[in-house]
Amino acid sequence: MEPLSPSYAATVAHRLTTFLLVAAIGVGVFMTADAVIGGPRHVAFDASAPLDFKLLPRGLYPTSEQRTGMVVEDPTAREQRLALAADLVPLLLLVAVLWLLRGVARSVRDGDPFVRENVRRLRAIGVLLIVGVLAVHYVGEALQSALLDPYGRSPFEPVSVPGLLPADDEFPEVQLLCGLGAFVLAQVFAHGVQLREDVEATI
Amino acid sequence: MPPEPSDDRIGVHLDRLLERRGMTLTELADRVGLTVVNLSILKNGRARAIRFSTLAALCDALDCQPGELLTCKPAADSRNRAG
Repeated sequence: MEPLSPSYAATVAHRLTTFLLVAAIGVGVFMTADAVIGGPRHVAFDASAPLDFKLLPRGLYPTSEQRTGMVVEDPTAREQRLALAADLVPLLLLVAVLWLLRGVARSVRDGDPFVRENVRRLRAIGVLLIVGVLAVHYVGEALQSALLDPYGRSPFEPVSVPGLLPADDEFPEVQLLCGLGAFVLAQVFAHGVQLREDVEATI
Repeated sequence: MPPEPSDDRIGVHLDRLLERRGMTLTELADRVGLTVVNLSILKNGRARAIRFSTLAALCDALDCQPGELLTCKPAADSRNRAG
């Protein structure tokens, strides 16, 4: 089957994913190099802190704790490693997804998208977006809790003394839906591959 | 027992007809307007479908009927039932 001539949109998509991939890898390399050979790493994270009721007007009360940014003065080596891990884990997931997406974009640019490699790539993207995003979410929470541990209470202990808790990050439902979409798209491509093979084998 | 895939049951007797007509695959490809590669796919049983236009062109070039070019093996389950 003759490949279609490349469309401008497909070429732009390929270039954009390549640029994002190179940028993500560059950021990761820079962060790691900075942690290894640079000076003390700036450690900052979000946390939930209880609001002082006395500061509020009468008749008003908060329904949740206030999310605020925290910066650690003179972070220890352990805190720097935890902060680096919390930043690198989602970045690795992003690099993996962009790598696979770039492969799909390249095949679309080349006018030959219905190949078995794209079915595998899209299924891998689906797995990364569902399993990977959940793993990143919970690893991130664990890392944030570990960072908070010297400064506040464990989130699982009864709160009798106000302390710091990990910031309540939103559940990544959008990424999970995108992962399901990737699985559906993989099946569409699988049908496309089948149709292509049937056409190529029709004399 | 599920029936065999239909692709495997259709036999293509191109070799026999080419030999009978004293024709090469390349000559046949030129006459019917197909590539040698496509005809090889048909000859080696790797084709999944054939267009009526292609079948008619082959029959004209080989001076034969479709039944001489293509045969269908009986399904394994019907053969087992008869046996």
